[in-house]
Amino acid sequence: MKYSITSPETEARLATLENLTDGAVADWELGLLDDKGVEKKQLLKAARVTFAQGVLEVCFATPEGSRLVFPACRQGNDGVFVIATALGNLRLLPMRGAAVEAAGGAGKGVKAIKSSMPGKVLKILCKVGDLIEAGQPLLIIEAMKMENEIRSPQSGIVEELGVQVGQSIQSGDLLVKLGKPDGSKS
Amino acid sequence: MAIQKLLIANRGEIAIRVARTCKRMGIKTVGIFSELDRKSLHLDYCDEVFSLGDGTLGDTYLNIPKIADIIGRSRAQAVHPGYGFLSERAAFAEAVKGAGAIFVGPSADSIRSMGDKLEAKRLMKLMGVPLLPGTEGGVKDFSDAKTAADRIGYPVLLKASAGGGGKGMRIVRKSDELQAALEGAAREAKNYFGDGTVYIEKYLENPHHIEVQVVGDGYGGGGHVFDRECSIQRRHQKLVEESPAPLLNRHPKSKAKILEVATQVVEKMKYANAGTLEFLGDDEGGFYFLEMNTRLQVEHPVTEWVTGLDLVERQIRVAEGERLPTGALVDAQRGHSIEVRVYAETPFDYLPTGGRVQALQLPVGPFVRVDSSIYTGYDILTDYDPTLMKLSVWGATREESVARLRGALDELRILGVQNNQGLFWAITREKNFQKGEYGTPYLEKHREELKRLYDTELARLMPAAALGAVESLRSPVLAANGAGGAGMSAWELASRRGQLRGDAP
Repeated sequence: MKYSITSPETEARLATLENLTDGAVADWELGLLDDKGVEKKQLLKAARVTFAQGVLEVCFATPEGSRLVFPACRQGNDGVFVIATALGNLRLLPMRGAAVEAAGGAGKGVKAIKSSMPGKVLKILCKVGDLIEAGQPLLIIEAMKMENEIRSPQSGIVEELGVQVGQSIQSGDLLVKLGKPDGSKS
Repeated sequence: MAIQKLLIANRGEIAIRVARTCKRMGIKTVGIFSELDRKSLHLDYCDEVFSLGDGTLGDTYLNIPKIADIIGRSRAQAVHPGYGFLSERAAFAEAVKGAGAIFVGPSADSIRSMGDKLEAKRLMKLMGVPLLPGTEGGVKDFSDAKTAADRIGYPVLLKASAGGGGKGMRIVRKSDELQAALEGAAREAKNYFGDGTVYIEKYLENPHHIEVQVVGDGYGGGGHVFDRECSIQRRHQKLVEESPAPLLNRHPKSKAKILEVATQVVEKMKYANAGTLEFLGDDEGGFYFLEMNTRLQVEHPVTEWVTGLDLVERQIRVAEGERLPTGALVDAQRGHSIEVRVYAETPFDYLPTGGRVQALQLPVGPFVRVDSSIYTGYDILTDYDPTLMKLSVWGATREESVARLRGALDELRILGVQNNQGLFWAITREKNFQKGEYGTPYLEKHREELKRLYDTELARLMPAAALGAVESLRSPVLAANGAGGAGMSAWELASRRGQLRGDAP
């Protein structure tokens, strides 16, 4: 998913972010807008973005080992993020249309479902080879003394299970890898 | 009489502020709330709470009979009105007395006479307080106008008696411009308001909002508690307040005089409790009485910082009958304090916002104070005023105070509610503010520069953050506010479940 960061005053686009996915460990692409509003891509190697417990965490492999943390939350159900900064709240708006297509067409291909928090695997409700419907429970994780059912965001075939019952996990750990519903390998 | 139980006839941060002092003094507190406010934080700070029921402000916080009834039922011996609401209603002060309790504030007579703006000016003039020079009423003709303008001194402002909104208004800088301006203003006044009467008053190029805190014992004792400057305002509401007033620091003689005048008012009026004399100041050090607020002021924390006084305690003490020697309550101001009002509104257009506080990170550290009533999970009520918090700091010097405020603002995160902290971010980095040189036109005059500072930071924020080059964003996580702790909010739980369900961002 690709996001544009907008000014709270003017709603003007300030920059764009890509790969802002829970637990994503990936190159993080940042589009900087110059004076004329033209986007210049900047690639940050091996950045990791996690969003858990209301905190958006962005880790970069800079020489100093910088770690940046923003309080963040979703706004409504249309994928909008809000992050709190010293200037107030900034909104991260999902970009629609061509930008989204270019971002990888999530929902069609392989999907790695990762944990957004540390916890313990209580139950696994699927096995390799199962055909999963979108919204179907995959496993139950205990975190903060709460049982949390993890549901599949899309339909597909279970290709791989990343965890076992009783296992302690960290946020960002792979839980389940889903393949395309027709079973073709990616 | 020592007060043992006090009713706080207010809500939000000021109710909490009063409750804190009561707790320290060993006074039990009674809180009141409208049903809308059932989740308000002030309820947690009071020993007992009583519902005012549903309805409008008139049905609830402004409902004198209902509050009088609660005074009786709770057996509160005193009532603190806070600011706003019923704090400046003479009828309320009388109703409190009628219910057998002490009103923590001035006499009903003081409230009434200062509440009538013309009467207040008449009384101040009698007590020798300078008023803005002007004609008592409309001028008869050109020669009358010329005599008046010469007496007042240029520049002068011509205003339509029946007017408003800038119509029929003329600024006259030299005597040879007067005739044409007078004719123009009168014509406009006649056309727009059907009345060509024009009056003249002194025009201030760069007015300052200066005020003096006072505390009196009601017997002529007490006096000033030093000055504040609150010139940075939007829509006549203050945004930034400081003590001492930078304007008066440049005019020590004016400062001595304004403080002396304030003490005299307390003595002559036999003023009881806390109050504030508000003045217009000019760049030459002149000051002119505007009005007197007969209550505790929103910006009282800056005075507390530089005097070491707990003003709510002083209010309660004089309400209990404490007598004060005539004169200033403390010898000097120590250091410098600045307060900003963080509102639920956009930083430059002042448009109201709202929402739920999703996460809250408050600035802490030496000489930083937050007066607030919001918490994670709290829905901002648009039915009341837009204040999210008052952030105040102290420094040994003004420079240190400004720097500390910058740091505190860098730490502050209010997630989920758009607010004006970005404006303060810019103001504290703007040159004129840093020098303490500003008047009430400040925000309009420096709007472009403030926006430039803000936009530059905004544009820098994300890219620089990505490169790991910003210090301001490398802030502690929300651990202190319960994210992941035992006090996890319903929102956090809901959000977490959402993430675990795999709701794609």
